[in-house]
Amino acid sequence: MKQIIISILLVANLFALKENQIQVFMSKNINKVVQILKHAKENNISTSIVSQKIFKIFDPVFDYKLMARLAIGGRVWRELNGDQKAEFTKLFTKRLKASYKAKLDMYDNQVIIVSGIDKIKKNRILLLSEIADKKQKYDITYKFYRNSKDQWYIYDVKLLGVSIIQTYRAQFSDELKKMSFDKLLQKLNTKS
Amino acid sequence: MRYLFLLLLTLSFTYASPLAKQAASNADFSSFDSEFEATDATNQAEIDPLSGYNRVMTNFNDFFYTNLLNPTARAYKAVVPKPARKGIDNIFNNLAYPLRLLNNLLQFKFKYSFIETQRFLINSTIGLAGLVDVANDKFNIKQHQEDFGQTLGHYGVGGGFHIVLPLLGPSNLRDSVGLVVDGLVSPMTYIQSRGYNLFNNNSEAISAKTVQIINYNSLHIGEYEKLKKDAIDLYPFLKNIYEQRRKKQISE
Repeated sequence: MKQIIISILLVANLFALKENQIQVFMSKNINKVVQILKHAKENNISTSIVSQKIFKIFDPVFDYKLMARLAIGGRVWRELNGDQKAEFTKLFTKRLKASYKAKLDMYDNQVIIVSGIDKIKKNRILLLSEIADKKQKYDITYKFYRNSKDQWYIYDVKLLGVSIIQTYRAQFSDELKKMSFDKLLQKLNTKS
Repeated sequence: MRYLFLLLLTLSFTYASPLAKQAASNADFSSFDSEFEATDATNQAEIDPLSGYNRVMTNFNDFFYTNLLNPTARAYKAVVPKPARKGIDNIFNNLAYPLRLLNNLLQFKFKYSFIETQRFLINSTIGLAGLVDVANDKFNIKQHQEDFGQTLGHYGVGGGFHIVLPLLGPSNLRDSVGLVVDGLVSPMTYIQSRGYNLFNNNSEAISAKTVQIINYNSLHIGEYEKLKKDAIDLYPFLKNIYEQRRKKQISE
């Protein structure tokens, strides 16, 4: 009995990131990811297995629901019914993950370092990191927000200054000028 | 004990109940939206007078990359060994030094101008006329890419509307002007009335440019295809990435 209670408490709190844990958590786990990628490259492990391992590490700190909502934009989101919201969130999350997975085989012994933290607002933090090969460095910025329970989650990632959410916003708003939301869902479903 | 357990369970359910979550985040959500809307606006997401043309040109370029440029680059890759291709890429890159110097100077980036000059001197001598990027590989001196579009942006010139250029891909009004100016300065282009020309005539200059492009793409096989897979709709996708990327480059 006691164990159950403890485990419930643990599950509830395990991944709720506090402000002072962000940098340590990210550094530690980005290192872990690099190790996984290195190991996979040396042993020819398939990207599906590798991506499963990586998602297991990072899923708890990504707020996919918020990301989906931001990608479609508040104005559209408010008009959607519950089913549409759920379906869209599901498809969008699937797509984000598929897109990440498709990049994994490009890993070629680059190193990733967390270079610091930038608190831009009382409830927004940027985690700055760099992926580097012999020739060049590329910035990756993880954007965190604080929720009402003082927990921090990622809601966007910027690669070389390009916000992933922003690219989806631009496309969705363009698509919705031409088609209905349900058509867009269909398109997302066939594409992912 | 059981009571405590039930209490905990109820508590955690209330916390996780979607209703409670919804209410809490709704109030906060508008600040997220406005964060992205501000960027939407600066990206001129709405002003796109050439969208019809741009879409057609995006499809044309896509066809060109997929069916002509990439197969050529693949065939080229199969016959030319990688060190040679790297070397050729380095030579072309070294030749673009005057452009980087000029645009660094125009933005009063004296430190980078100095670094660029250092790189050029090292690579042109020890690096065998630019064949080896010794400055980077041995001395860890990194390149600082600047073009005239960035210079204009640095002085506050907005991007203007988006233009997809034939073969060259996404651009905008400011960067297209930038390309023309860079072209007038670059030793790689041929301009008869100019005092310095690397090539003797236009067809030589164009052949060199063709080699440069095919060679460059042979070192980046599959990247365009990978990127393209992320697109739901190719034109707004590439457009948005281009504009965000340029904004970042200009701010650096």
